[in-house]
Amino acid sequence: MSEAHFVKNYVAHIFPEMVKLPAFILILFILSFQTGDQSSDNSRDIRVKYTLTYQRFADSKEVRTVNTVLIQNKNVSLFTFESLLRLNAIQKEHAITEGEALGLTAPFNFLISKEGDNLTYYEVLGNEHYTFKEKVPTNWKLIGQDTLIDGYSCKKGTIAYGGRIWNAYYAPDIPTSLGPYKFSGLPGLILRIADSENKFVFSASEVITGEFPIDETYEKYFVPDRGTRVFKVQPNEFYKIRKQYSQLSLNEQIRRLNNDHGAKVDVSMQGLNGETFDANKPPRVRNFIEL
Amino acid sequence: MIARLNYINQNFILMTFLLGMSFFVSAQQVSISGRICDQNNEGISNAVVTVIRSSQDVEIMAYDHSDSEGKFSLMLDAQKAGDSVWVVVKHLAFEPLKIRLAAKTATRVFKLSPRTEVLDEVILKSKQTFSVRGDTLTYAVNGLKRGKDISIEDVISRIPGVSISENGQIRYFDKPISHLYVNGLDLLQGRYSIATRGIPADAVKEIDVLKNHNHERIAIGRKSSEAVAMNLKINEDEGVFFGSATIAAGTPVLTRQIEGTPIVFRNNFQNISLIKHNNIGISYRDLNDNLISESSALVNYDSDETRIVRQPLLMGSGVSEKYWLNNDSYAASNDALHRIGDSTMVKWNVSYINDLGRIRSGSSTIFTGEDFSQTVENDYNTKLRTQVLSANVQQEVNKRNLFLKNTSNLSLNNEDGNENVLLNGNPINSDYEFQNFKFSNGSDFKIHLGRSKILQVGLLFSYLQSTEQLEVQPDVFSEVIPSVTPAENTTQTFKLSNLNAAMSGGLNFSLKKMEIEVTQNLRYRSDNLSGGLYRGMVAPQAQFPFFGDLDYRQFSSSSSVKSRLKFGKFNTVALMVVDYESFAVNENLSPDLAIRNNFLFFQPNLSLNYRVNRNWTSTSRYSRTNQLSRLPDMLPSYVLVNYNTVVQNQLFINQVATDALSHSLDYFNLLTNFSFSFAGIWNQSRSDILLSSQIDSQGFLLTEINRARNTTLSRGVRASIGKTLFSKLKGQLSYDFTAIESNLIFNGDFVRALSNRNTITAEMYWDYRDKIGLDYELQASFNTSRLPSTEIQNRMFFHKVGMDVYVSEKLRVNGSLESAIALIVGQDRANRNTIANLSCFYKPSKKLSANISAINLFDVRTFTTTFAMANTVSVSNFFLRPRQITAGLTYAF
Repeated sequence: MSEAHFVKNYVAHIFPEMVKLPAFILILFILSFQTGDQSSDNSRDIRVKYTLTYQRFADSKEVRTVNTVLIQNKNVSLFTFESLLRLNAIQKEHAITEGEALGLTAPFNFLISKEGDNLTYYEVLGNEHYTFKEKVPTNWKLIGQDTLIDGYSCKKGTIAYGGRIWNAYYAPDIPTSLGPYKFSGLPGLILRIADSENKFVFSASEVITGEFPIDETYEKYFVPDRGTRVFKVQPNEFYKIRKQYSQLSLNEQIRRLNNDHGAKVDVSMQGLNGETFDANKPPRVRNFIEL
Repeated sequence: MIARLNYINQNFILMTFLLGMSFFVSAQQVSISGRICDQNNEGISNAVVTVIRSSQDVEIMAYDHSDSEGKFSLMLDAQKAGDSVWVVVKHLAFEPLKIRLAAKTATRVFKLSPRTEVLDEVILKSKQTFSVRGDTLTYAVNGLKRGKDISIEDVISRIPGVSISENGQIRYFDKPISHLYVNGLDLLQGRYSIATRGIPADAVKEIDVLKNHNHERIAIGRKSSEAVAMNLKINEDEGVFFGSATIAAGTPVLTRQIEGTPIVFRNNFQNISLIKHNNIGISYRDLNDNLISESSALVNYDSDETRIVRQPLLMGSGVSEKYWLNNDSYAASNDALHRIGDSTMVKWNVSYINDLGRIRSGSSTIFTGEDFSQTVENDYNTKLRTQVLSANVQQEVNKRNLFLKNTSNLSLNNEDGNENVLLNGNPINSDYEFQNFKFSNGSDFKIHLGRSKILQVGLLFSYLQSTEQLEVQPDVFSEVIPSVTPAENTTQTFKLSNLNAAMSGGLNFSLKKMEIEVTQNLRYRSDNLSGGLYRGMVAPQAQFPFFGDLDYRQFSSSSSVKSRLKFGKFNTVALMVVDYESFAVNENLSPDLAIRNNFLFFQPNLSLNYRVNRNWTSTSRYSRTNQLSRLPDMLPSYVLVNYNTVVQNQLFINQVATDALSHSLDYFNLLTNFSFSFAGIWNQSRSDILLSSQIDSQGFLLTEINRARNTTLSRGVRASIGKTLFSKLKGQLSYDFTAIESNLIFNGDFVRALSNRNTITAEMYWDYRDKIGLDYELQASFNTSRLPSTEIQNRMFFHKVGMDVYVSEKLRVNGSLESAIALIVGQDRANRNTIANLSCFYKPSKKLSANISAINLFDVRTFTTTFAMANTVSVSNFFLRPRQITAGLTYAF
């Protein structure tokens, strides 16, 4: 139904007398209120690329880096890994291939959506999707300490979250309260945030404005699996599940993946040199942002 | 009824009280709330609202951001707020609004106006500096480079942990890198400084630091490695042909420098050519130096260039040779690499160096004994011309299950020089000649035998021939060296021929969690060293002990087992080497001088590394090594080593056994680039030789070798701390203490000398927004030479300060000062010298840069340094080049 028809029927229902006016004058009159900006362009989309440098395992000082992206679109923001955004873009065009699935992996399979002071967390463990809601951490303490990052004068704020103390540097000259992961709410864009032990460091490498639509079908950011199950849980419950999952051996993880199909799977692996790998060996202890 | 009324009254009083209290509490806080909207009254979300005390204040009293309807709410402490506050509203798409409000609870609407200037699409684009992927750190050149960097070597020096020495050797945390690749190919091997100094900084996109690197693919995943390599990735848009060229000229007439480095890079072919000439104090003698540590098992068995006579000294210390070296240097080389398929490479290289160096210097050396002290004054005019022609061909097959490499080398070396000396006021002229021819061929073969087993075999063959001659006028050591007729000169000659063959076999395998490497090396060496020392123009009939004809045969067998084990936080490396050496040495001019001797050594080497936590590691090391006399040490005839020194050895094989123990604690945080290390070192060497030296009043030194047990003890501590913030800031501070106790006999007295050396070095550079740059280096040495009854202390302070001022993006002015203070404590004066330089650089484009430089602006004539060792302390003066002004152009094509 066109807009004009809708308006005409609506008006005819409410104001019968008005129907007597020539329809096109009425339509024009009403439509004139529809012209101009639907909303003024006062929330131009922002896209911030953060480099995450992290220590993957608790027993090693080996450091890795990966790119993450934060997009703000009107009142909703999305934070996830660049590879998962790419997966989402590919799935809009065609079904994902095996090569693409293997090449676009992320160290953690999560995304975070924020609206106002609330956030929705979405993570995939194996083939199980988990989601929960929580409040955006906002109990920042502002510290009067200046620093210069990429030409921007930045100030410092600290917050306790997830069992860690986080130090953030925000730029008041970039007036947006955005930040990576679950962090936001400072009077300026967070350009750098790290925990006190530097196990997780987010550094902004690019801030651009433009049009960046967000796909709110979160399943489309991950490799599809038949019979995707989404579990709604509480935050603490999820962290326990995640920790238990990370402690499963390779064999246990694969069995869990195939539970639904009634198959009992046992994995044995052999390297290029003929050496065998123990798939029942407990994995190394992983570092997570929340302790 | 009355009870009910009382109950009602009580509740009423309680409610009134509570309401009153809440009013009282809220009166301590001020609430400012409201709505942010645009000119059309539409709510603006995500605007940042802050409250400050005054319009210039930066401390935020309260802040909030607007919700989807534009609403916000702030709470302020009434006492802190005072009478009024400033509310600042900011949003990316709108002009900021700053308004003063009375500090009382209020609800306001703030209307924002759209920005008058169009918002940039790119608000921030960081110069991403590095990323990590496994063992590879990748540094973006744009994030490291400063405006003044010309070659890629300037950029590499900014990588945290990297230091680059004067000859271009790159060290990563004090360990020389094993390979420098360009686009993944190892064109130059140990001569990589040609690439690092010839490739323009703007031609390289990224630099990879490859830790735990295995060049041989057969070893990847099968054998651990602690080697570090680097890879330069050339910009894709650089094209097939590029490089750099420099030309400079100036005064004194005609100071000049010409350099060209054309480079060709294709997928399967790389070529770097080099042509250079200068007379501005840059020597090319080190151009063919091997800057990498070879991994071949036979590298220790290659023949050394054996020299008996000391070549003329072209050495100044403390400051760069560009200040004191008068030179005329030429060099040309070409390196090419052809890749065939994915795994086969052929490389070849030809180079020629012709380097003439001259220096004027003087020294005052104090020799001390128990109850005497003697000073020897030397003034030198030294000249040395070095010519080297070398050619090298290498074939390499580098596959997953097979590695094969064959290298052939040919080199011709010619040196001739002269030292014109005033020794304690007496003039002496000394002419020196050296020629050397060497051919060698080495092969390495490795094959994978299944699981993690690797079998390796190596072969080495070399032939070397050299001659040396030293002629001194007037004749010297006449009381020692006989002559039937009056002589006007003393001559020393040597001729050496050497044949060397070695082979090695080894097996790498894993046993449970342990990596084991077993090797067996065999070597056979045959030398003939003949020479004569005589006075007069014609050599007399060869007679021992002034003539010698030494036949030397050595057979070596070395068996080693190396194991590497990681358990928990410990990482151990244990090596046991069993060496068998067999010698047969004959002095043909004195048949009773012959030795046959065999040695068997057990040489353990243990390293224990403990990873305390993510950033701290602790390492302990112990090693026992045995060294035997080298061929020149075995010459039993008299040898004129230089114009004022004669040495006579004894024909026996000295064994030096050294025990070394060290412990270190290291901290390094990659993310904050902060490092700290502390180490304690203890070394003890025991040998069967004691040097006995006699010096006469004219400064001539006669040294004899006595067979006597001799122990040298060295102890030290080393500490350093460093912080890097990529191109913005780098600071390094270190302290080194070493105490050495040694024995010698000097002028008939037994001397137990103790040398204490304390050295502090500091290095810092700081860059402020590419507008000002500051470099500072300090080296302070405090040395003491102590004998039982005497003590000499000397101090040396060396500072280097440089400042860059960027007048504009294209124009930079640099000023620098290098100064030194050298003194011997107790003497009247300290020697102070300062050299000042001024340069101006103009870089109108990425490819072209021009410069005008004034070196030694105040025309300082001499530079003084001091050094102490055992029972000698010397103060050296170097005559500097006169003030030099040059103008130059560098073009990157």
